Amino acid sequence: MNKQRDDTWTGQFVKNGLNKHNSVESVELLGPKLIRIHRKTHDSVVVATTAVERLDAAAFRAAINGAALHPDYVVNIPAESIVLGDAIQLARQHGVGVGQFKDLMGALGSSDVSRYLSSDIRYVEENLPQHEQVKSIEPLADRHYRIERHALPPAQVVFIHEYDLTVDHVRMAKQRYRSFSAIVITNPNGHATGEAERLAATMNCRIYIWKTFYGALNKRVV
Amino acid sequence: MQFAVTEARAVSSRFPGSDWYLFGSSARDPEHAGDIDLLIVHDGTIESTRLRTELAALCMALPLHLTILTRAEESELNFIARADGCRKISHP
Repeated sequence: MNKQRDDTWTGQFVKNGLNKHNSVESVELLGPKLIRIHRKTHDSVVVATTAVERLDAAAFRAAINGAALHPDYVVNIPAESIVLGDAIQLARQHGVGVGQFKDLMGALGSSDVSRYLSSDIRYVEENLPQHEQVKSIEPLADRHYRIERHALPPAQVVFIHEYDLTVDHVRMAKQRYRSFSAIVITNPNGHATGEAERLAATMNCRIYIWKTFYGALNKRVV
Repeated sequence: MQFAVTEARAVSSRFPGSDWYLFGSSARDPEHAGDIDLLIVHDGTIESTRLRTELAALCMALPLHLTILTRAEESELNFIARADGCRKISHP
């Protein structure tokens, strides 16, 4: 069950948090959960704000429908939250961006906030389908993908952008995404701690960096 | 920010054997920090998921980003020495 709390503070929170953003000229509070951001070099954008633990399609719809104006972006404030695949698909159908506060910060530097993805997830979505074994990819959640392969079984993989992948990241991935056989560290300089490697092995999960993951995609078990 | 520190301190008292720190912009410039970086180092007997459950309400109310390490991991990574402005907030 999604834990919906009072989120009427979120609009003001985002307004305050964007005061020092390089791309932002000014921020208007249109409602407790709706703001308009005037940008220095791009068009202004309307952002709906919310605070839920798991942003699914229902929570996404509630954020859109509760807004007086059609938003360009829905931002979910809790840093430890996740966006589920059905919300991602719905956001893409509506031409609306979706993500956490740090994603919004990144999106504000791009002309079209609705299409913004963090650089490592853009790399996943643009480059992974080009692998000769990959037929298609589908987001199951913000960092969790199902990879269909041509002549091999599908794989469920979590992509984590950390410099140090720890025991906690492995446990958190398991709790959030539940079913996956591999974790890919997307930070080019990232690595896993010894304890994280050992814990993942007990979960029948392998930890890869990009180079080793591309090789593993050619094997039956990823 | 002071609210976050007070609440975190209260939760930390329920996890003996753990040390809690602020780092990053929340430690350097709390007035203008976009989020709050909290480091918890524990002896390995605590499940990090239990820590996250205890902090869930606070994480829902604030942009709190948690880094949780076992002591062995902290030692392997030398995290406290590397982290920007790391300062301890839990009681000794």
